Amino acid sequence: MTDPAGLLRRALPALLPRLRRFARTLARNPQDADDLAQNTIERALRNAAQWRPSPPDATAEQLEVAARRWMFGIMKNAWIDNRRSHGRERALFAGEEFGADVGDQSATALEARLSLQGALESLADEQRLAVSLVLIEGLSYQDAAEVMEVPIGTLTSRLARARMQLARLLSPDGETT
Amino acid sequence: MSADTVDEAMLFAYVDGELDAAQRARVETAVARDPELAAMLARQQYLKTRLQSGFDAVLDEPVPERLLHAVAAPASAQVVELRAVRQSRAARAGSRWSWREWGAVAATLVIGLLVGMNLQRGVGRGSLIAGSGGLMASGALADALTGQPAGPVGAEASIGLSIRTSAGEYCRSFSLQSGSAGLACRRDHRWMVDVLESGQPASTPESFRQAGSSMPQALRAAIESRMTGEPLTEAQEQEQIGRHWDAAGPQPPSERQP
Repeated sequence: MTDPAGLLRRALPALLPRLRRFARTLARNPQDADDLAQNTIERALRNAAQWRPSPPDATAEQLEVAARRWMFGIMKNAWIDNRRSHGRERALFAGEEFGADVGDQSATALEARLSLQGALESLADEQRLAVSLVLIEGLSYQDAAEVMEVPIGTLTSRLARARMQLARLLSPDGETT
Repeated sequence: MSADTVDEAMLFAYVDGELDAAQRARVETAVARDPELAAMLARQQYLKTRLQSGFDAVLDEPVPERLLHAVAAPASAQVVELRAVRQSRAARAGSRWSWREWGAVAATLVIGLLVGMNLQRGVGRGSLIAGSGGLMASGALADALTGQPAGPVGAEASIGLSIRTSAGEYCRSFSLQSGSAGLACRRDHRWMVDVLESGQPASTPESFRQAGSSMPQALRAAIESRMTGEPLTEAQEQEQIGRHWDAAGPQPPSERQP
């Protein structure tokens, strides 16, 4: 009676906004973020039969959490694959691309976004994932560790290092701790 | 760690909502006593707020059509990432691929192309929204599904045929101006789009049209698998239009009513 693919299909539309946000924290610009989201959805549907939501008699809420965890994991893999295949050469063009599609934002908001983006870019990939999942997406340490496929201790130490660096880059007074 | 010391890890866990009530109280006591710790906490809370507020707006943006399409892609359609196609093509150059496999790749490329075209042309602005239960028709599409008889009459959306499913739901096939087509079923006073296929623009070159012509078949299969009996007649359709498709046939006897 449990049809994982069907369950996933039903859960997906409600997850789209958060998938897009997670993608936005990882990708360089909004277009790349939606590319990443689309890639993730396609991968997920191709592999939907492998999804094992647990427990088998999960409530709707548990299913949503499980689906989100699974989708975030797929997005993480898609992003990492993409980073590997593209390297960093695109960084050269990022400023131009990013500037091109922020049209109606106020200068201050744009500046803040750009520096946020810049600060996130400065992190090692696995630190950035930890920041996105826990600080922005608000996942529990347990869930974030599962998405990243690492022990909780590894997650928290990556997070701690990232926090120190971000606090240094982003604090209003530029303090160093 | 002694009972009254609070280290950095614990402070972070406090910010992240990972502590139980007793641990939270311990952190709060320590922070009240230690200005340095308090400053660190403030910095970390500021950082988290700043990160969240930088990205929260994404949640309120409309979801782009292409992602809605990706979610609604029929299970039978084999969607292959273009990059993956390129990679496997490079990796397997010279290996023994059957014509069928190449055909699948070609069809996939066409799907990508068609989706891309639809993206630019728009699929009837605002005709679909993503909700918890799935994709939902809205705007002109929802209006057409509710009030329009079958036939090529709608400016933005045309209705193909209306069916009754074995589950007792009413479903109607539709096509949009962009060429996309799908099947919407009436559920909880809404039109849920169960099947959605990207259409082919009329200007598509012959070779693409060939590969793309298999797509409506998936829609036909979806209709056939759901349908019981014959499609609704014109009169039955009019009757349902009159009642907004909501009173689905004879009501089951209610046991709860006095």
